[in-house]
Order: sequence, then C-alpha cells, then structure tokens
Amino acid sequence: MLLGASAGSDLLRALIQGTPAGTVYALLALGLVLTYKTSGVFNLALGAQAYVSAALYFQARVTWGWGIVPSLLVSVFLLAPAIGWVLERFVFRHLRTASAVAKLVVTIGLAVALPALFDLVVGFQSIAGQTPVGIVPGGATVFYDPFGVYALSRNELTAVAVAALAMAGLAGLFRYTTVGLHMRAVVESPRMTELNGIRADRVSSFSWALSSFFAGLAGVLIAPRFNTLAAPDFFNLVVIAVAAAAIGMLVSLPRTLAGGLGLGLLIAVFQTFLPRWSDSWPWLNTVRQNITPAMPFVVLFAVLVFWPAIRRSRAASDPLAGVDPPPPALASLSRSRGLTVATRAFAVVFLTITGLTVFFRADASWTFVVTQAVILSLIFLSITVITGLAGEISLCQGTFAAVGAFASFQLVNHMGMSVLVAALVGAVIASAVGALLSLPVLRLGGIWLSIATLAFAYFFDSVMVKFSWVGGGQKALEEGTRLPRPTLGPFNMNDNRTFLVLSIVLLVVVAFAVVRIREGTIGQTLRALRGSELGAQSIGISPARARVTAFAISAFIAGLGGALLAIHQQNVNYSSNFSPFASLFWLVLVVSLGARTVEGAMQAGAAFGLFDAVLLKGAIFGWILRSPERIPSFFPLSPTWTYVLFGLGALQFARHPEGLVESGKRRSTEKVEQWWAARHQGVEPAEQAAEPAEPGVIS
Amino acid sequence: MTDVPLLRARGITKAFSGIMAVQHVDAVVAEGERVGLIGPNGAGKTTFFNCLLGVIPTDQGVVEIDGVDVSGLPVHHRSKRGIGRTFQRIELFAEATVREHLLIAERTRRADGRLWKDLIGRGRPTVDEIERCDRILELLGLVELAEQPSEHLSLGQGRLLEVGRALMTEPRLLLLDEPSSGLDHEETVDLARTLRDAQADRGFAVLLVEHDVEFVADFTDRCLVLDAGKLIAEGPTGQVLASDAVREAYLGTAGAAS
Amino acid sequence: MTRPHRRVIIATAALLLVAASCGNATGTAGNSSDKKVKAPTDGGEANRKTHKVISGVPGVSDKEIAYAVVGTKQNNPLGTCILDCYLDGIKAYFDYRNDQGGIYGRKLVVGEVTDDQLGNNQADALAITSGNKAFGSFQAGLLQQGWGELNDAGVPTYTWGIDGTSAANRDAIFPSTVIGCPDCTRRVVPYVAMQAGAKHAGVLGYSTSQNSQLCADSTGASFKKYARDTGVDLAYLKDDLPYGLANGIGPEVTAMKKKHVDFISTCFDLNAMKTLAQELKRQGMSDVRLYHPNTYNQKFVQDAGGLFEGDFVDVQFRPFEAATNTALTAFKKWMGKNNSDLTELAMVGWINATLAYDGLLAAGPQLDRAKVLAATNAMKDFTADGLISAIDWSTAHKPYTQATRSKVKDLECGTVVEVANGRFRQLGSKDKPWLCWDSTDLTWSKPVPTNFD
Repeated sequence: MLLGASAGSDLLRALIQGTPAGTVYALLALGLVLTYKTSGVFNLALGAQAYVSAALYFQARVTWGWGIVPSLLVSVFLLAPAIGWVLERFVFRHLRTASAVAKLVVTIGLAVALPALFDLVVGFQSIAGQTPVGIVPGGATVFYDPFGVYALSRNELTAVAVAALAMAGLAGLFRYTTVGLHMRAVVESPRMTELNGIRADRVSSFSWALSSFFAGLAGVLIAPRFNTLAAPDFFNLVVIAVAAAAIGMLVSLPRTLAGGLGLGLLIAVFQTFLPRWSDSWPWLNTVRQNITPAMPFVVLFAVLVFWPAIRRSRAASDPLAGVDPPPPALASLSRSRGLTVATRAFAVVFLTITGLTVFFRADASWTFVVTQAVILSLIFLSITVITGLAGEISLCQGTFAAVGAFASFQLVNHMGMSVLVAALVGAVIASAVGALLSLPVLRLGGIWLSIATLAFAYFFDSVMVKFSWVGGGQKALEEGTRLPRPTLGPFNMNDNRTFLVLSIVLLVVVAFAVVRIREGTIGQTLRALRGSELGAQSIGISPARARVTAFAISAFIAGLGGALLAIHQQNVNYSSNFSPFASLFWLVLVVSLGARTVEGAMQAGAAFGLFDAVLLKGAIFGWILRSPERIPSFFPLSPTWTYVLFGLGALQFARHPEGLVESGKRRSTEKVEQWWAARHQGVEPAEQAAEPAEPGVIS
Repeated sequence: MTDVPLLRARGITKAFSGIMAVQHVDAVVAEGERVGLIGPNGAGKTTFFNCLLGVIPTDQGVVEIDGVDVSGLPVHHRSKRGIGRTFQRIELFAEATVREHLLIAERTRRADGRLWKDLIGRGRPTVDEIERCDRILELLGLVELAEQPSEHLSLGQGRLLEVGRALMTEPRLLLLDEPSSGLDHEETVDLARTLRDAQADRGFAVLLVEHDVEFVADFTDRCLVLDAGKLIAEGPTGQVLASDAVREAYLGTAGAAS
Repeated sequence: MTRPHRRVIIATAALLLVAASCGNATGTAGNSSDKKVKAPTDGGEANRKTHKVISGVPGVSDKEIAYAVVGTKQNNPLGTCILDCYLDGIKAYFDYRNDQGGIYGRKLVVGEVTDDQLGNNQADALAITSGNKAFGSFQAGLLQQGWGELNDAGVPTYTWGIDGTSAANRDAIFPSTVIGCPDCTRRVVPYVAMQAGAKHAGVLGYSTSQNSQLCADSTGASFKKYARDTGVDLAYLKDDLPYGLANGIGPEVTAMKKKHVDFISTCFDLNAMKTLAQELKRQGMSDVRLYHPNTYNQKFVQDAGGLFEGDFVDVQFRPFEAATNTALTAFKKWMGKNNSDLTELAMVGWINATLAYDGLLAAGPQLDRAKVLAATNAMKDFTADGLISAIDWSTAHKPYTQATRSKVKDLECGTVVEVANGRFRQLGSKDKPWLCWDSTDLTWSKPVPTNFD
C-alpha cells in the first residue's frame, strides 16, 4: 500500500520535522538573493559567514562563558553585518563590472579563507562531543508537542520564530522604509535604479550587511542541529540555499522563501515515506539508500537542468555585469623575439637544474611530493582547457579526475588490465562522462553552468561513490582502493624516480597537446566563441558542439591525471584527493595564478603540491641555512595559513583576471623591454598590451 | 535555375510581451539578388532579420532556404546552408587578428576542426587557406591590416572584416544589418563601393537592412518597407522610394532625424 | 596514404607497443613470502640484557632504538586529541621499559614525531622509509595512505586499529585492534541486549562509511541469528544514514517507536550518539538502552547529563574499570608520572609500544627489521600483557568473511561497560572482563568470562 492509515499524521509529523530546517534554509537563501540582486555577486561565501557567527557565538558562550545576550549581540548583530559591509566596501564594490566568473572565484576564495582566518584569529577549534548551544536556555532538552504527533525542541521553535520574525522584518523594511524601497527597486531592476538617482553603492552596502546578518542569524540558529561545529557543514548549507534560490530563480524573494521552506519539508517527507515505499517496491531501495543524503544536490541539479525558466533567465543571469573587457593578448605573444628566446632558455635551464636536483638529491619523500606536484599540474591543465580556452567555470574537475581514478581501479582489479592502459581507458571514460554532463548543463550558460557542475560534484560525492561499481564495494572494504604501479618495458615504476620521469613525460605530452589545441582549430573556435558567440554562430560554429568538445577534452585530461595520481599514491584515496571541495580549491588556485597558460597550471600544481612542504614546514630555510636543524622554531606554520593565503590569492584574481603569473609576466616583460629600449636609444619600446582597467584598490 | 527562391519567409510574426514587433511579413530573395529592407526606427527590421537568422524564435511563420523549412534550426545551421551576416553592433572575436577571423571562418566552412589534426600540429593554416584569405583581404582592401588584432580596427574596418568573415563561408546570401550605422558619410561611401565590388565579384545575394536611403537606393535592386511591424510596400527600389506611403511613413521621419 | 594519416598510424602502433610491454608492478605488498625470514629462536627474557654490535640497521645505535611517530593533529575533523594522546601512551611505555634497563643494552626512544595534517600521511611515511633514522614506526593518522609504503619497505609499523582496510594483507602493519572480518556475526551485542531484558532491537549505521554500513548489517544479522536464543528480535535496521546526521534522526526514531524498540545498537561516532539520545528523549523513549561502539570517553558521557544513563559502551581494551592487572597498573603509574590523561588513544599507544617491545624481545639481540617482523608474526597469542583479547599474528593480517569463517580460529570476544550515575562500570566480572565465544561453533552458548593475563 502506498500510504498507510496513519499517513495523514505521518505527513503532518514530517512537515513539523522539516519546518525548523526549512525556515533556516529560507533565511540563508534570502541572504543569497539579496546580494545577488543588488551587486550581482553569487555569494558562495555565505556559508562561511554563517559559520563565523555561529563559531563566535559558540566560543563566547562555551569558552569565554558569556551570557546569551552579549554573545548574540557580538556575533550576530555586530560581527555579521560588519563582515558583510567590509566585503562590499573593500572587495565587491570594486568588482561591479567584473565578470561573473571573477566574482564567483572571489566568493569561493572567501568561502575557504574566512573560516580559516576566523579560526586563526579567535583560536577556535571544533571538538567532538562539544555540541553547539542554542540561543535559549535548555534549548536542546525542553520539548513542546503542540499537535501530539511530534515534539519540537525549544531550540527548534526559537529558530522558526526568529527566522519568521526576521523575514517579517524584511517585508516591513521593504514596505515602509526608504532604504527598503530603494533596495526593492534595485532588486527588481538594477539597471533602472542608477538612472533614478538611487545611490546604488549605499543600497549595495546595506544589502550586504543585511544579507550577512541573515547568514549569521541562520548560522547561529541552525548550529544546534550539527553535533559538532565545522565549516564544511556550513558550506553544504549554501548549496541548499542555492537550490532554494534557484527555485526562486534568483529574482523573487517570496519564491525563494518558499523554495527554502519547501526543501526542508521535502527532505523530511522523503525521509519519512521513501523507506515505506521501498518496502512495497524493492527497486526503490537502491535509490533510497543513496538519495537521502543527496537530496539538496539532486533538487538543485534537477531544477537547473529541467526547469525551463532557468534556462530562459540566462540573459538576466548576471544583472550588473558589464560586457567583459576582452582579455589582453598573452604576454608571450606581445613580447619581442629576443626576450622570448631568453625567457625560454632561462626556463629550460631552471627546470633542468631543479629536475636534476630532485632526481639525484631528493629522498623518497621529496620525490613523492614533487611527483604529486607534477601530476597535479597535469590535472590543472584540464582547467586551462575548460576555463582558459572555453571560458566556462567547471566546479567538478575533481569529479572527472575521480572518475578516471576509479575507472582504472576497477579495470585493474576486476579485469586484470595493465594499469597504464587502464589509466588511458579511465581517461576516456571520464571524457565521456564530461561530454554527457555537458549536454544538459551547457544549455544553462554563465553562472548556472558552474552551479550545476557543483551540484554534480556533490551528487557524485554523496551518491555515485557509494555504488560498488564506482567506489569498489566489498574489495574496497577489505583493503581500500589499491592500485599497483606500472611496469613499462624494462622500467619498474615501483621506483619512485622512474615514476617521476613517467609523470613528467606525460605532463609534457599533455602540455604540448594543450598548446597545440589552443593554437589549432579547436582553440580558435573556442576563442571565437568567447570573443563573440553571435559572431561565431553567424559563420556556422555550433557553440554546443565546441563546448562539448572542450568539456570532453578537459575531462579526459582530468581523468588521466586522476588515474595517475591514484597510481602514484597506489590508492584512489577519493575523499582526500577528489572531494567537491578539492574541485573548488583547484579551480580558484588555477584561475588566480593563470588559467590561460600552461605555465599557470604548472605553477598552480607546484603551489598545491609543494607549498606545504617547502614553506609551511620551513624546508626552504633549511636549504638556505644548509641544515634542517637551523629551521626557525616557529615552523611548521599552521596549515590554516594555506587557506588564508588562498583567499588572498583569489582577491588578487579580481585585480588581475588574467592570473597572477600572466600579469607578473606582462609587467616584467614591459619593464625589460623599456629598459632595453632605453639602452638602445632610438628603438621604440614595444607596443604595450593594454592593461585591463584596474577595478580599484583591494587590500 | 529552378523557381525555388534562395530565401523565402512566409507570415513571420513575433511579439514581445504582447507587443507585435513583426506581423505576417513575407519576403523572398532570389539567387544573386540585391534586396533592401527599410523602415523607420522600431519598425521591426531587426526583429524580422533576427527571425530570418534564427537568433530569436518566431511565434508564427516559416523560413525556407532553397525550399527547405529551416524554422526550427539554430543559427549556425542556417549559416551552413549559405546565409552569412554582419552585425549592427560589431561582433568580432576579441583577441583574434584580422587574418585569424578569416581562417576560423574558413575552417568552420570546411568542417575541418578535427582534434587529431590539432594534436599533430595540422591546426595551422595551409597554403591553400592562406591564399583564400589573401584573396578576400585584397577584395576588401584589408591586406595591410591582416596581422592587426581586431581591437585595433576602426568601426568601418571592423564592418569590412565582418563582411570578409562572412564571405569566407562562401554564403549565397549575405544579410547586412545596418552596415552604415556609426559611420560618417565618407566611410559609408567607401563601404558601399567595396560591397558592390565584392558582390559583383562573388555574385552572392544580399539582403540589406539599412537606414541610409542613399545607400539602399544605390545598392539594391528591390526593396521592402516595414512600418510598425507590417510590410507596407515592396517593389523595385526606385519605385518604392518614390511612393507616397513610403515617404510618409519613412522618409518623413528619416528626414527629420538626419 | 597522406602524411598525417601515416603519422597517426605510427602513433597508434607505438601506443600498442607500449600497451603490450606494460604490466603492473607487483609490489612487495602482501608478498613478503619471497623474503621471509624464519622466526628467530634466540629471543626472550633471558637475553634481554645482551648487547651486541649492530650496524646498518636504521634507527638502531649502540645506545638507542628509535621509532618514528606519525599522527593527525592539524585538520583533524573530529577535533579530538589524537597524536598527542597517542604519544603519551608510547612514551609512558618506553619510560616503563627503559626504567627496567631498556632492551639489549639500549633505550627505546621516540625519534621524529610528525603531524600528518590529515592528508600528508603518505609523504610522511616515505620520509620514514627513506630517512633511515627510525627502526619502526607508530601510526595514528585518520587517513592511512602511507601504510603501503611502510609495509613495502618492511618497516615494522604499529597502528591505531580504526580501519581494517589499510592493514589488510600487509604483514608489517600491526593494528591495536584487528578488524579481520567486518561482516561476521558477533554474539556480544545480542547477549548484552538479553541481559538488559530487551525484546526488540534496532540497529543503525551510516551509509557514508562502508565500514559503518557493514557493521550495522552484521549486528543486524547477529540479532536475527540468535533471536530465538536471546528472545531479542531485530525489529528495525537502517544502515544508510548520512554521516553526522545533519538532517536529524526523527523519522527513524518514530519508526522504531512504532515497532516498540527498546534496545538500539549503532555504528556511529559519539556525536551522533548524542543526537540519537536527544531524539529518543524528544519522542519519549528515554528508557531505550543504547549500545555505543565509540563512546569510551568518561568526560563526554558525564557532560551529556543523564542522556546516556543505563547505556552500554563497547571497549577495545581492558577497561579502566576492570580489575587491574600488572599492565594496567603500569599504564596508570607511568602515565601518572608524566601527568598524562588516561585516554583511549594513550592506551592504543601503550598497546602498540608493547607489541614493538615484545617483537624486539622475540627477535633476539642481533636484531634487524626482518627478524622483528618474522618474530612478531610468529606470535600466536598476543594480549599486550592482558590489555586486549588475544591476537594470532600468524593469521591476523588476512581478512576473512562470514562465509569462510569456519576455517579461521579466532576468538569472538568483547568487553563492555555500562553507564551508571554518569560513570562507567564494568559489565560482568571485573576480574574476567571479556565475554568470549568459540568462533568455530556459531550456535548460541553462554559467554565464557575471560581474562587475558
């Protein structure tokens, strides 16, 4: 039977259960829409903002022993709006005309950096067993059961009440105050407001403060649901909020509200009824087992891909973004021939010396780390293709890499395939997955494309990995997802150095291929599309086909790199290598350093692989001082610094959208050529590539 | 020659949020013919034009190329069937040089963008391709600008480059969207002359959407007049421009504007 | 044939050649048979003070035998004390033995201590294998990526036994607890349920971790298998909850309430147990007794108020609440000397260090890594001086399943404490804290209270 006799009360219970979460989701989603509509920023850092308030509240209450009211005042009413205001004033105001991509990258950087910065400054550490406390005494232990079907805790009731109050407040603000009217005007028609003399800056500042306040409030309200306070949970919250905002199509606040509430309810209803239905229909069992944890991501993906209105809202996808200024030509194309030769010669000499040092002097541990950096560079080249060439922001490159890694693992272990061949086949499979994914996703375009890839990454993470034909099942359970190293003719790659050589060779081959693709027809086609989609179509270029190709190539490279990484570590190590968060981290790292060049990817690989060992652990001082004993005692530095620096890197990206490496290269090229010209008077300095308009000072 | 026209549009209708932009407009362009499409601002010229190309979907009506219904096909498919175009607001490829614009078009025409060719370094232009480019560059007088990035071109040069890019795809019908807009008189005259030479050389048909009556009179044989989304006149250019209805609807406004 | 085509074909042919000539390197992993050393015979207490000159053995000098310790501290998502607490236990044991004069005229020392920061375990392991400064290693990382390297290099490696997969089929890896058969039925949980007077059992596990899922399934199977004998049936099983229970556990508790569940065994972490206990309280089911797998943490249980009153907690070693024995006394004494807290991880460190020492002792004074491995793997009855139930290292490295179980002789033991007035209390006999069953006979029987001294 579909629904039992008590189905009515079960449904009621599910609805009651889902309400507290739903209201908080709605609160967060409203915060998301507010900043999106007033400043065009799709703020993925909102979860981080919620985390910071929740953690400060927790720290104040539990560690510092403050009372409820002062803790709340400081964390939610003071800190949260302050963060929003600061972000708007010093970061996003200067990005008004930046591309959607630049804004998204900056928010991802902030999503990583904010919690890390907070933890460092306040000295916060989440500890198992220390449950977050609510904003009312006895919140978790006093229960009320108004309908006699399900008791809500005092915390949950408070959350619902406070969230409802906040939303009513927002409605009142919109209706009765000037700034509210102005905000509404901006939300409804951002372009019109400037014409009507509304000071968009002030409205924007205010919206950011308000949005951040909502986030902080949501964070403090929802924290007691988690049994430990940890930043990743809050990032997942943002994904849910994004799904809710998608239901509201980023335009309508009431629909967003309904979306958030609806998601909370939907999850509870599914949790209640799916197990029951699957008793009647056993095939539902497999679905149920895997889908409950993934509900928000499934909803998000489904909304994005199947809701036609989203696709049509494409034009409105970034309300404030101006036309992207064309990226300046690559420095390597604009500099003089002599300088090019000199630079290349220097690079070759430098790399050779480094390579030889690593090869002959490094111990196994360093060889391992360097190999890791080489393979990551290879993976990062996939971002060079999809983002640097095709101009699309994919947030699931880690997932493509995981597909390659898992496929090789399966092929080696179940079909006894030789591991190098398996890596190639894995790459092909990843490529097919990339192409398949791109079909529905590409119709979205712009920011929704990125969000859909993020949803896919989370979907893979919470559903696909669980299937034994992906994640390994029984075999993986007994001894993990182990992979052997290959042999190639006479070379046994159990030797780390031999494997390093193989990795370098593959990196060079792939880098060469990427350069060829960039300069070849496919690269030109993609560049044409980036330059002008209308123009490209008018000469018969099919945007869909070109982009599917780009996705397939990119996923191939990522899959190959993923397989190689798994072979290198002799284990897939999915959760530490390829989680959705890794995808985000990789993307921001590569685009901040330079997504358009092979060097950018390589520098990102080196940064990712070596930063920790060389800088944080202070090894570089050991080399300079010629003894590991002389490394200053404040090393090793906390790895949290990595995240903070990473966030700063992302902020820099906003100033130099071509990437730090590329901008540095251009600047030094110009300087050298000016100097050269000055010495050889009469020679005109080489024509300088136009520096992009500085969006303002960010510090 | 068959009696199937190169392009036939029948009953094209398009409304934007309830406002009729184009209503039941028919148009025919034959092989090698030069047709003008004129009308005051807001007459629906650009909408009609975009409907023909598939940039925006039509509400009603059929577009046929060589008698084949292409109404459901996307822009790039129509291009492959021999329709090239230029843009009123220039749509060049940022970052690419003049020559690269032409090469990309050439490659696309040949459907020759194979991955493996790129990988083995065959993505670079062949002698044959370079020759074809050079011919177009000569035809349009762009030879000296060949290696310039498109950002460095003047508006007029940009227009020419758009024409060249379209010509590389060997169109049988070239749709020109207000080519004179933003150009001064001298530039317009230059452009018109170059276009006429190219048309004479290549023999493609032209559908010209234009504001500048002189340009239209000079360049086209036949002319359609749109006003408020409706076709109000059609015929040999000279006659149409002389007719009272057109004068009233169009020239009056145009005269006042210029 | 045009030029490009020929090039493609040549390239393809080259690829085929590569494919034909490449295979998979057979690592030394799990293959230590080809370098097997016979178990030494000159070990033992009698030779403990014999000093012999040893050269060329990593980490062994005339005065010291050094071990490397790797564990997770930074980035630990659990926020618990791992590396430091683990280190406390190792150091306490080394102090204890060094106080007795060390071994073979040498002191046991902790050499390099590395925080693997969650993700660097493999690089840190390689630093050990290539550094040649440590004789063996102790490992308490949450992700055990480096164990393969250590095993391949033949480094005796003593580990926290939280995950059976990384230890499986690796002869040089010695976890503190062996998870040899994740899907085998165990009698201890149904037995405890029966003792508690329960009638209907519920079982919960995470889908996020296959370990947790299997743990729940095997517990469920145990309840089913012995339902008639114990009078406790399996009323509810759900093995697919999301890790952390971020969506709460309301519907599951409601379902259990409907089925009159009065005993719940889980495969959760301690935080989730709190979530579960709170939900039970909310739905008026505070009387249900819980069986905790990972909650042996006195402070946590005490801080939770009365939430866990009457619950049962599984313990991986001789509980602190059991009657003390020589080893437990020594543990408390030497931990006390360093003012270290008596934590679960410290006990793991102590147990690991015990095996390291026993292995050295069995290997004899002319020791090297291979001899220590051979000697350790010849131990059929390792109990860390009565701190854990016996491990047979000659078979423990090889995982098995319920299906192949009859061929493996492996005692089925467990030790459990219950929560009374917020404090832990040994369940059953304090002198014989383990409840053991013969694993070759899977029919129901009463447990044999056992002491492994």
